[in-house]
Amino acid sequence: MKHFAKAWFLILAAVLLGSPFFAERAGAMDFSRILEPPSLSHFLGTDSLGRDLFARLVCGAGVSVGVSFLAVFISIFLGTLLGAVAGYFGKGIDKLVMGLTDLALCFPVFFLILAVIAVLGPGFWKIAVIIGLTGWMGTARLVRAEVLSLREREFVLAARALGAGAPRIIFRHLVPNAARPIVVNAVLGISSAILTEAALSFLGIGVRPPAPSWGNILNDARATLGVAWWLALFPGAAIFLTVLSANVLGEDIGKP
Amino acid sequence: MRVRNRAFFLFLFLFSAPVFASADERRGDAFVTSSIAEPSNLIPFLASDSASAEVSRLLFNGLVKYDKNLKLTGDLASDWDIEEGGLVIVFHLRKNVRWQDGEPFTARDVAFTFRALTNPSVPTPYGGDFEKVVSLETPDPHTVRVRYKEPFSPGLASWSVGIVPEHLLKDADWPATGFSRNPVGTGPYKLVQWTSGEKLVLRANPDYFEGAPFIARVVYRILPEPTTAFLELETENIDSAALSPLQFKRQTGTPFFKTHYAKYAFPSFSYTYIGYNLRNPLFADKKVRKAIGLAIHKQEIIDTVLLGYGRAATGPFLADGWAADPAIGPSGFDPSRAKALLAEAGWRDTSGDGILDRGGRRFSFTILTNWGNTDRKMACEIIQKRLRDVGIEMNIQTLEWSVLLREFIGKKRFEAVLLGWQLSPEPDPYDIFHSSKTGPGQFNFVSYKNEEADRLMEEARRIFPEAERAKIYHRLHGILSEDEPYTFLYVPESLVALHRRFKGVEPAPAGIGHNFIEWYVLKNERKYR
Repeated sequence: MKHFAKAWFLILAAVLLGSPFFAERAGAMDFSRILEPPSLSHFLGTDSLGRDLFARLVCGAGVSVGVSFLAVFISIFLGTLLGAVAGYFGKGIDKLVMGLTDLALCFPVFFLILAVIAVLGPGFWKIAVIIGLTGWMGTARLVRAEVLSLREREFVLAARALGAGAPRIIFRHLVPNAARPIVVNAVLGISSAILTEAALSFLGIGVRPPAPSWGNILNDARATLGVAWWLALFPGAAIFLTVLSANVLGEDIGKP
Repeated sequence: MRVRNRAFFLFLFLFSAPVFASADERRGDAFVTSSIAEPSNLIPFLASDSASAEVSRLLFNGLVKYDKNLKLTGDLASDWDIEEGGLVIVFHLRKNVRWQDGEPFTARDVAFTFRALTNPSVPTPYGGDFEKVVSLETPDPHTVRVRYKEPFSPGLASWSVGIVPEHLLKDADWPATGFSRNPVGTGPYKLVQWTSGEKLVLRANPDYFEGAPFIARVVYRILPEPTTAFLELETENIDSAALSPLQFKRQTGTPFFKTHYAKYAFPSFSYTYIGYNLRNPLFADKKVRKAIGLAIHKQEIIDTVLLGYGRAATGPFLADGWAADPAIGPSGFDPSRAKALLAEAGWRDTSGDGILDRGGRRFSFTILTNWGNTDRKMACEIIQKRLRDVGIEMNIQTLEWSVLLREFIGKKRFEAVLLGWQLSPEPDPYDIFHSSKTGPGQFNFVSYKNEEADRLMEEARRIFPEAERAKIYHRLHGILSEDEPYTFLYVPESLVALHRRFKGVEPAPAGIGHNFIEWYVLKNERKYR
């Protein structure tokens, strides 16, 4: 299972590198060949505008994976910073930051994202940032808990005795020692970010057309479900495999 | 001779069987149909959504209605006179019409409905139709005299709005939620059950003034997802549904479907268009708008998005209606002429990036459309590609409906939009193209202004005879086609599947629902008790 997950991510990496070469093909419409099933010339079939599904999935990977990596980067950065600060300083700051975290957790995040995008309009960067800004709470709690136990350890006391300031202790000593749970959280975060992006695109408010993403290809498939199974199956499978692989890898890294 | 005679009799028997069935034998069964959304409100003049309109049409009547050929005819009014050069319309009401609770219908109800329509605290989208009414008098219980400030021919059609009962609503607190979920009308059906999110059940009104309808019950099942509706159709759980072009073309060829359902296609009362913000310097030049129109291959959009079930739109009137000038064709597809027009307007590709520019500004704009509408999104993508071919960069942004209307269209914060208008048989396009209607939230959001067009629209409102109005609208049609404040794209067809056991269906310009109260099911084919 672990090897399979790694292999899938290698494939994804290759797809991401290769996606610029497919951009033109992904946009090429052929109205004489709409909704064709998989064949030799279009080996995953074509969509309702006669575009090659394989090329669109490859380009869509760039969007779906790109958005989720960026979102996870933002949420991990924020979560780690806030969690570490709260755990290290404790007292009032801890109460304040954790209060903020609890508050943010109370929000129905998906509807918040929907509302924000409804007002600002969709787009690659906006979606990445908004998913990132609403996903840091889990990491913050986790990092805080780690830092709470780490800060009483001898190496931290030693650093403090040597006169190191708070930023140095936090970023040179505490965060690196909490790296493993952070990485696990990041990998698991990727899978949920991919699902969120897919859900947003599925609702038709993801990236702007004609840019493909796995979610909006799946959304378009809804209208053609009774006729074109391939339009629903392949993007669904891509999302499924990526999320599964991220979870498997995350658990594997988490093992001591 | 004998044989031929027998065959003849058999023929006569087979094809006239429905005619022999007496009215009582035709009565019964239920018509189960699907509605894509739940009605918002069943008071006819409070609702603007099509789901509500469809149900309340069976519950209420207006003074006038459109017949199967889209001509105005009497409904609660048996006829009307136009007096004093068009300043006064006198409606003669039918006698012996009763509300579904047994109370008689009189002119007082019409007066009450009028007061509600013009009451500022009643949130009705139809109030504008009655702004020009100076007074409404009821000299006797069966006469209504409406006096207008000036002759206003579209006013006649506005009286197709459903009339509500005074005796039940006079103390109502608008928007009268109790009545809107439990309405009492004069119509052929009466609401008996409304289960939110699931269905509405209507029962035939035995005392309907045109005679009780044959179908005993009508059930609207709320099925928001077209795929689900289609599955329900395939299992015979519903009798009728609107189909997508793809369903209509590719999923209805099975023997089961063919033996159980009849399919109908007729031009819808709508058109899809690109509207340009004419206050934007990009689109101020007519040549640019015409160039965009010429760069778009309309037939390709119709063939791909609608799978051929539609036709090119030429103007803001019903495609086969009397107001449209049949001589005006679609603008045609001519990219080289489009390029020439753009060059005449000063747009050239000096930077060599494939996109035209003028005075340092690239020809790039964003088109807005409502999200969730796959057809419009696909049309945008096809247009985007065609415009790229003539050197115009068009970005697509899909927005949630209310945000699109309020934040972007209402505030004129847009460059171009791809949207559609629903049409009624009354063609007056004053609200959409008259230069006085460009205020915030008004419908001339593209800010179109043409003095001759203004004058023609004003003139057409002052005269009643259809033939004379038609001449004026033909001129207007020509001006709009020449000015191209909109690029008219296409008129989709309404595609409907209907169970074959329903007899008496008569397709007409008005569609198939116009004689619904005459539909019936033969006794041996009945499905529901």
